[in-house]
Formats: sequence, structure tokens, C-alpha cells
Amino acid sequence: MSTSSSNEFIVPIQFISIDTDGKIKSSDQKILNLEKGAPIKDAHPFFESVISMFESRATHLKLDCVNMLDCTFDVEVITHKDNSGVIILRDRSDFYKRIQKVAQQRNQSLILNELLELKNDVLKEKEAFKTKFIKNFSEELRSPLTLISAFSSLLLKGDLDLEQTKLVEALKEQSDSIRKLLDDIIELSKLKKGDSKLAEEVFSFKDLLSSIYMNYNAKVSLTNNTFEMNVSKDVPEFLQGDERRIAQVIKNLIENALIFNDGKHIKFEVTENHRRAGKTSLRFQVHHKGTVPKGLGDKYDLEDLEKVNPEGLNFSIVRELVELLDGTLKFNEVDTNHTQQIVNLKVAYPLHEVKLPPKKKSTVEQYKFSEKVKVLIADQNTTTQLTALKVLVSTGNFDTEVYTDPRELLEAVEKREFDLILMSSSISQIDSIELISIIKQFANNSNKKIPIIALTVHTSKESMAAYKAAGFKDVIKKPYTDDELLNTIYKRLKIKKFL
Amino acid sequence: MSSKKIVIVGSFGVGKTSLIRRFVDDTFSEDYKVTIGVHILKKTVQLQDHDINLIIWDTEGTDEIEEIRTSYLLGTHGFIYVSDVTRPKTYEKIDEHKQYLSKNFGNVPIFTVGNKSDLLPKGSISQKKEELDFLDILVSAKEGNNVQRLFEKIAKILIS
Repeated sequence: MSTSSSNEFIVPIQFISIDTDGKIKSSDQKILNLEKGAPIKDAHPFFESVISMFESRATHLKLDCVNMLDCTFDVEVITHKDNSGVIILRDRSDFYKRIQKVAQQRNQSLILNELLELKNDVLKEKEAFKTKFIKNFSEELRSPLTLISAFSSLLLKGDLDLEQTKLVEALKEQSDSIRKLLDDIIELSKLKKGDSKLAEEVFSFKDLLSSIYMNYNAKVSLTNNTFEMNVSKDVPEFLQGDERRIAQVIKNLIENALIFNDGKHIKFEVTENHRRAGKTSLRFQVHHKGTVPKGLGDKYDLEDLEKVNPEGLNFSIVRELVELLDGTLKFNEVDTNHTQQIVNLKVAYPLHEVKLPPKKKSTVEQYKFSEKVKVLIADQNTTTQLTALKVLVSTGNFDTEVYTDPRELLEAVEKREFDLILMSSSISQIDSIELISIIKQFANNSNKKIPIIALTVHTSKESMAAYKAAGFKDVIKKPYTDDELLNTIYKRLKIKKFL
Repeated sequence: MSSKKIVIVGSFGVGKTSLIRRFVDDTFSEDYKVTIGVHILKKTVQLQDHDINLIIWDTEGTDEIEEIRTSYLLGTHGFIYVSDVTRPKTYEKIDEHKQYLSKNFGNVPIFTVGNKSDLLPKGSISQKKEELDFLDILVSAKEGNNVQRLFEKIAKILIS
């Protein structure tokens, strides 16, 4: 054994003998240089504390890891009945230095974890507040939007002169923009929370691109610009994935170009990079003149969501969607004043021939009933009440009654006969899911069989399942258009009875 | 002049050593150095008609009060239980720990202290104070707020 390693096991020890007056009787001075005859309490406050324990008792006390006079000692204090005693110091500084090092690392890491947990809790609290705020905000906005959207649609179906038509079209376009903005804010919030799941359905990519072209060709031409779309021949006709999200990516890219376009032309290209393992790598490119302000497309963390520039909302959504779809996104500045947005997405495509059912018509059937449908509207919001009322009355097919008081509503379903009930998500703070079960109890036999449709802003999968489980025949999402309302009602009514 | 033994206890990283350094030497360091075992310091507190030596035992921080070496706590005249106002974990078990100390080390005064009051958000101090009203005093070892007052209060109680 070497000298240095053997030294590690040698612990310096000092014996200090204390007399009955608390003075140093003898000390071997191996570690501390203590003056014989001096009061031990003057050597260090530790001894002052210890000496007070000499209470004419015979004791043996051990104190480990006592730091004093630049050393760390294990101490033994032996007291006698005559108040004399012995203090034994073992200098274990090296050993405790090592322990200190380990404890330092451990405690720092524990404190860091604790602080991270706290930060996480604060973030969760902030997030819960934000979600609640967005939910309330969107609910408040949906009622007036429902009215604007449905009324402008109704007006456009009537006899308007050219000037009036243009005004109403402008009104409808703006209301649709607010509706999209609202949906985008909620979408972005969901994406940031990681709430979004991807659909895996086969859809016609060709049809999707056609509808995008139709939509934006018309929209771009209104601003005296041209919209060009080129789709490479090798791009698959059908894809298997989340049609709505892919459409959102493309639409937001084009919307970005519309916002920052300085020229007269917007070009959208779809090409295929390659196909591997049942997946096609698609490249979407949008070119336009004009540059995008720096930082607008930056990625923000959830807590910084409020930093998103309103004009950068489309960028943020595209970025999040592309991330969700496991793709890549690039914004290139070309020739100093042109912008090129490029998205690469890998999407599955069906390996066998696909036959999709024909899409449902979005227009409403023009029925003329011989007998009017008696509709009970249970909604305390005057805006959405009025919307439903006007849309139904405009067809000439419905007799409507509006109820805002749950007691009157229950009395009506007990004593009167109706063909259909439209109910908002809460009336006088009673939740519609609770209310429907009470209605089913109070309703007369005839009303027990009629369809009840929910008018609501709560359209998550869970909410929809809860509505269906509670007994609602269908759910109409606010804001709705006149066509959406009528189509759902006609779908749920026994039409033959009224024709 | 009488001497009284005060033991400082509390979780790790709450600033026990900083609090004593501020009181004894009027210094403060941002660096966190873990205390192993115990350090003993002394300071005389001058009261209106009496001086008193406070011998302060600065113990190693722990979440479980039972883990403190019993030998450190013998003959204690008063405890200071330090917590960190920014870390709820450091004051969650305060009542339980106070009970343990009273039960095992005599009915001596126990002062509960919330350190790092300088880190409380400025706009919410009064609200936070209400939330932390179970603590006897809020202090800041960094800025020195209430530190002298704390030890004077203890000294007064110990000589009364």
C-alpha cells in the first residue's frame, strides 16, 4: 500500500480534557492549537454550546460533521458528574468534502426539477385560462356570425338589384372571413395543445384541388389578379390521410400569398418528389411577388401564443399543421422581391382502385309542404333565436314557437304537439343534455317521438357523442348557414308526412 | 451575558446559510453551496436593556425533519424554520415539522420564516402575504429585509 493511499485512512484525532470550570486542562494539539487553562468556550461558539450541556451528568454525546475552524469534525463529548469532561475531535474534512460534492449535485438537480415542475404548473394554469378564454370568446362570436351568415345567404336568394347584391356579398364574404379566423384561432390553440388527431381516410385529391382552384380563382380575380394552378401528371388522384388538414395547409399557403402579394399573379404548383413504401412525397409551392416580413412565420411556444402577429396567423397554422403531418416547410425569398413557400408532405395513397360515394349536395332541397311543420325553438340567445326563426319562416314550411324559460318549455311539450325541437346548448343555465332528459319525462306521447336537434358551439368528438347519447337526433354547429340548418331539419323530419 | 442556542432548520436550498450570513456578517452570495452537517456561528444582539449571545446552528437542509441528527438539536433554546416562498414544497409540511420539534425537543419557540421575499412578484406581494400568513415573518437574505428584525424578535422572546 502506498503512503498516500494509507494516509486516506488515517484520521487525525485530538483529545481535549476539560476541568470542572470549563477550562482546558490538557490538549494534545494534534489539530487545533488550544491554550491550556483558557476557557474552552472561547475557542469556538461550538464549544460554548457544548459546555452548556455539562450539567453535572455523566453523558456520552456524538456529533458528526461539525464544521469549525476550516475543518469538519466528528466530535465526541464525554461529561462527568463533577462537570469535567473530554472532547474528542476527529478531523474528517476530506471525507465530508466528497460527500459535499455529491450532495451539491443532488440538491441542485432536485431544486431544478422542483422549479421546472412549478413552471409547468404555471404554464398549465395559463393554458387553462387561455383555453377558457378562447372558448368563451368563440361562443360569444358564433351567435352574431350565425345571424350574419344565414341572413346574408337568405338575402342573396331573394330579389336584389345589382348594387344590393354586391353589398350583401361583401357582407357575407367578411362574415365568412371572420368565421375562418375564428376557426383558425381555435385550430391553432388545439394544435399547440397537441389535441389534434389525424384522420386516415381515402379522399379524391383531384376533387380537393379542383375545389381549391374554383374557390381561389374566383377570390383572386375579385382583386384583379390571376391565379394559376399546375398539378403534375404523376400526382396520385386519390390519397389516404387527413383531407381537411391537407386542404388547410394549401389554403393557408395561398392566403399567405394573397396577404403579401404585391404583383398581379399567384402561382400554385403540386408535384411529386417520389413514391416509397405506399407513400407519395408531395411538393406544394406557392409563388407570389412581394416579401413576407421577417419573423412572421416564426414558431412560437404555447406561452408565447399572444406574440403571434395577426397577419402571421396563417403562417403559424401552416407551420403547426406541417409539423403535425410530419412534413417540411420553407419560405424562400427569390430575386429580392418574390416569395416562394414550399411544403413537402408524405401522404399515403391507396394501392387499389378506389370508388368513392358521390359527395352530398351542399344546396338545400326546395320543398313545398302541404302541412306546416310545428317547430319548438328553445334558445335564450335572441340573436340565434331570430336567425333560426327567420330562416324557417322564409321557406313558408314552418310554424315556430320560441321558448326561453325551461318551465314554460316543459309545459309546452306536455300540453301541445310539435314535430321538431331545436334546442341551444343551455337555457337559463340548464345544460341541454340535462334538459333533454327532463323533456323526455314531461313530454306527451306524441312529443316523445319527435326529433330534437342541438344547436351548439361544442362540437368536439366527445361533445357530439354526449349529445347523441343523451337523445339528440342531430347536432348543428354554430355558426351555421341557412342551408345547413334546413338540410339537417329535412334530414331528420319524416318529410312524406308534410308533402 | 447569557447565551442561547438557536437551530436553523428547513429544506435544502431555502437560504438558511444566506440568512445567517446576512445576520452575522451582513454579506450575501448568489452562489448556492450545500451545507453538510452543521456550522456554528455567534452574534451578540443588543436589546434595550439586555445583550444576548445567539449561538446559531446552521443545519444541513432536509425535507424530512426526522433526518436531522438529534444530537444537533439537544439543548436548543429556539428554532427558526426557514422555507422558500417561491417553492411550496418547502413549507407544505411546516405544521407537521413544528409538532415534531415541540414533541421531541421541549416547548421552545419555533419561528417560521419565509425567505426570498424579494422574488415575489411585485404586484402580488400583499396577496401572497395573505396566502403565506401561516408564516411568522417574510425575509430576504439577499436584500436584508426583516433579517435583523427576525433575530431581535427571537432574542426578546428568549430573554423574556
